[in-house]
Amino acid sequence: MLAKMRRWGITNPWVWVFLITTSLQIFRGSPIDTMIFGASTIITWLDAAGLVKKSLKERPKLANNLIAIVMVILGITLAFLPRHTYLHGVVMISILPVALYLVWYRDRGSKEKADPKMSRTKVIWVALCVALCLWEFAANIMGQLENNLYSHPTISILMDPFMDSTFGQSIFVALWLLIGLGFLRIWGRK
Amino acid sequence: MSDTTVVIIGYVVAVVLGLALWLLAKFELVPLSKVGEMIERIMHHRTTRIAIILAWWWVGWHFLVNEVIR
Repeated sequence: MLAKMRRWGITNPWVWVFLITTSLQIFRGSPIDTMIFGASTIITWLDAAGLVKKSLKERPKLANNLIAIVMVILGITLAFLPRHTYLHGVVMISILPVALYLVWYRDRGSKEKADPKMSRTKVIWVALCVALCLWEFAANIMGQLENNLYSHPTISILMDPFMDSTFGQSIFVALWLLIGLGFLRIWGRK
Repeated sequence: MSDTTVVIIGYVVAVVLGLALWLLAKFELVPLSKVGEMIERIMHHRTTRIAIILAWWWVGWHFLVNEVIR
């Protein structure tokens, strides 16, 4: 039974993470975020169930010069265009398929067992991330129940005034792009 | 202490803990793996890579494109 569920991708934790987040977005009343997380649930499930496995290629490699040029162009565009505009939306939407393409490659076989140091590190980081998500979610629920944005502020509410300045927007964009580059692990790879 | 202050303190504690963990591991002051090594390991499986990139992209979308709503 469990093997069958695993084969169909139902036991994959990421599918559940996105499914739960989709239901939270429905509760939050945000149709666009509901669509994004709903689509993310389907995408992760399709991969976890092995339904898009056949056409996978080897890991793509990119020249550092190209990465640097794209990062600078994206950085300037996202940092200096006004937020919440269609143009920003178009740039963001165009980033997604490229980023997915860069991570959607064939796995290199099974993973070696983690040593105690790595296991400890993962547990601590997962605990911190889950705690932060629950804290934010609790603030969101309380805010909705009280119908007040500022009594229990979410991270978005707190960051919004900072993001309204070009300086704040630039800092956010730089950090966001660098973190993304870190997750993609494409820099300096030959 | 107001509820607002308590909520903000929670976020600040999480950010400070995250920064401390990152720096302590980077300079090998605690018996923990470096963040880069951990990311390299967790990005081994394709579904995890896809999920993390989707989550990262949504953060950018949320702050740059979405209007703040409840």
